[in-house]
Parts: sequence; C-alpha cells; structure tokens
Amino acid sequence: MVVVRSKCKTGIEGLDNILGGGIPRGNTVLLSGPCGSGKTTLGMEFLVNGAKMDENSVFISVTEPSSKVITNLRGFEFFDENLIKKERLYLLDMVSLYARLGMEKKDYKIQEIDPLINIMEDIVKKLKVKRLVIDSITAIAHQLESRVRIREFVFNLGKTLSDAGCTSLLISEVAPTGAWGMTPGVTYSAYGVEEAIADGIILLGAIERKGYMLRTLHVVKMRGTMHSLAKYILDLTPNGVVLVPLLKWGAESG
Amino acid sequence: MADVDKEIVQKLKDINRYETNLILPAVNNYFKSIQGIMSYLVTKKGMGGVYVSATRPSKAIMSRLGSEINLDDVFFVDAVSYMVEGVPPPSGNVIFVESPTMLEMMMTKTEVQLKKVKSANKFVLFDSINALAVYNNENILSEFIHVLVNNLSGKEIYSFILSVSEQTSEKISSMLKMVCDNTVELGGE
Repeated sequence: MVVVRSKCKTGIEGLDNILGGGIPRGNTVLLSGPCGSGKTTLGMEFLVNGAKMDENSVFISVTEPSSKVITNLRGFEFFDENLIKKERLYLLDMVSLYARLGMEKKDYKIQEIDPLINIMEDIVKKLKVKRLVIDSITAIAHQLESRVRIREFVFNLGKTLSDAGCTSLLISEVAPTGAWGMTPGVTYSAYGVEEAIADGIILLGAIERKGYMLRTLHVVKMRGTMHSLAKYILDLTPNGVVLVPLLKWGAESG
Repeated sequence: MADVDKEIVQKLKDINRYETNLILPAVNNYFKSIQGIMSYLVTKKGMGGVYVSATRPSKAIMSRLGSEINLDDVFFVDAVSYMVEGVPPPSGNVIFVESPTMLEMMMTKTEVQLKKVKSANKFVLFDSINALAVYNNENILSEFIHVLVNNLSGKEIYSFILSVSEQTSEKISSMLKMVCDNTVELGGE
C-alpha cells in the first residue's frame, strides 16, 4: 500500500500546486539561486504562512542581523509583526545563536560542526519548530574546511531536523552563469555536495527575453511527492511570491 | 455614442462569471467601445476590476474615462508607460510592467490588482491583443492567449479580451475564437 506523506503547505500562490500539495513534512530542501532571485523572500513567506497556521517557524540569518531582516520584511503585505510578539515567528541571527551557546562571537569557531548542529536541535526542540529556514547554508559551508565536512554537516543537520518533524529550507547561494540566470543541471550549490543530501531542490534563476530579465522557479527534485517539472515565472510582489507558467515560446528568445 | 452604448448593453446583458468574452470592436469606434464597456460594468452594474493596458498609458485612459466613470475601484496594469516615457512616477492604483514582452508579468500583476478590488462583482478587461502583437511573435502570443484565457476562466470574475478584427492575424484570431467562451462584435458607425 502506498503511504501518502503529510504535506507542509507553503501557502505561496501556485507553489503548493507545483509541489503536489506542499513540501513533504520533515524534508530538508535546498533553495538555490543567484542573488536577487527571490530566495530570502520565498523562504520568509514560507515561514510567515506557517506561523499564521500556528506552526512555530524560525529564520536563522547567518549573513545579516535579524533587525535588518525585519526591516526588509516590513515592505511585504504578507508580513505580520504580531507573529513575532506571539512567539510564532522567530528571527535569529548568529549573535542569538552564540548567546544560546553561552558564548560571545569571538569565542566561537563555526568549524566545529557538532555544537552548531546541537544548537539548531536545541532551538527546534525547545521552540517546537515546524518550519526552519537557514539563510544561508552557503555561508556556513564556506567556514567548513572540506567537502567531507560540508557533507557531514548537511547530512547531520538534515537528519536532526527531520527527526524533529521540522520542514526546512536551506538557502544556497550560487554564482550566476550566462546573462544572470543559471543553466539547470549545472550546479545547485557552491560546493556541489549539499544537493546530493537534500530531500529536495527548488532552483530559482532568470531568463532573458528581448533585453528584460524574468525570474524563474523550477522544482528539480522533491522526495515524497509527485511534483511539476516545468519552469515557472516568479514575480516578487508586495503580496509576496506569485508564480505563473513560463510561456514555452518565450523561454529562450533573445 | 448612444448607439454604441445601447449595443453594448444589449450584447453584454447575458454575460456570466467564469466565462471569457472576446470583444471585437470596430477600429473606428475603438475607444467609444471601451468607454461603453467600462460605463456598463462600473456605472451600470456597480462592478470593480482590473484594466490591463497594452495599448495606451494608464494615465491617458484614466483621464479620458475618469470624467464620466468613477474609477475608485478600478486598478490598472500598465505595460505601455515604460515604453513611452521611461520609468513612470508611482501611481496609487497602477502597477507598471516594464515591457509588453513580459507577458507572464501581466498575469501576475493582474492577480495582485484583483486582490485590491472591493466590489463583489469583479472584472478583468484586457486591452488589447493587437498591441501585444506589435512586440511579440505569433507563437508566443498564441500561447499567451491560451494560458491567459484558461487562467481567467477559472476565476469568479467577468473577463473581456479586446481585439480589433482588421488588425488580428488569422492564427491569433482563430486561437481567440477557439478559447474564448463568447464573441461580441461591436459595429462601426
């Protein structure tokens, strides 16, 4: 008998249909794309929608202070600051993580994988987190010294989060190729190992049409669900992410 | 003008939600037809909606319609202004699309604008397929019409797509007639 996995609805217009109902609960998904492709916005909307559905949601910002993240979020109509006050939505940065470890930034070496995994596990368990976004996994991987350690980190992190029933998006920054967009199949992460371990890959990119750039979204893989393999146009609007099918005759026209 | 209005009232009285109406105005009565349709939908039927403009800048449309029709609950998607005046100044009820070649963006912006409409009865008026044909080839335009109409048909709204017969190629015309639920021809003077 086929067991249908419970889905974590992203609440993002069009994305749940593309994913066959949502992300299978407990999946660790790589959300990849070059800068400006909409990764952080998509990740935040996923969390805010979860918080609105009474699922505790956490955003871990590795590269910028959480205050800056909040400032950017205020430009979106989907964001409700009360979710933070109600402790449904948590925005943490590295300083908060160090504090949880009882350390100051100068004392902590990110190369130590176990403490970092432990602190994430602690956050997920104590706060009963159902959704987690790490922005970005690339910034963490950059501190680790080898592909083996990156693989070990992503594997252990994925297992820890999955065991806790937490659905997570690991934001992966990739260098743009071509005009601005990526060529699918070339790379989904900076180090080329994260994608092999992740349960899913959502690839953001762009195409150029007659001199104008259009953002795209493509679900490359997602374990545990039948999903669309088509490429979609992604629009960042004040309401959040909106997706429509990419017109096939306009996919490659210059 | 009165004749056009009368004809519009007569021909639009049986329109339904979920259906897409292809409006074929005569080229010499083009704007009168738009005025008549908007007057019928907004003033007579009390609807609010989204006007997608690929033909004239929204500012021009608003200034011509606004004297007779209350446009408070009408929101615009404007794919012309960037082309004719560069970066347009922000306007409360208008979202600008940078180029009429960004066809998908016209759909996403329509979605966004539809959410702002307060009236229970909503419409989308798409003006026009002919203007898009200037910037897009027949293949992509044909595909766009197919996707657009199916996208609109699934919504609880009244939808209208304008196209001037004399300026529409056979391929586009066939696609429009095939996918739209109703065809409404509006005669010339």
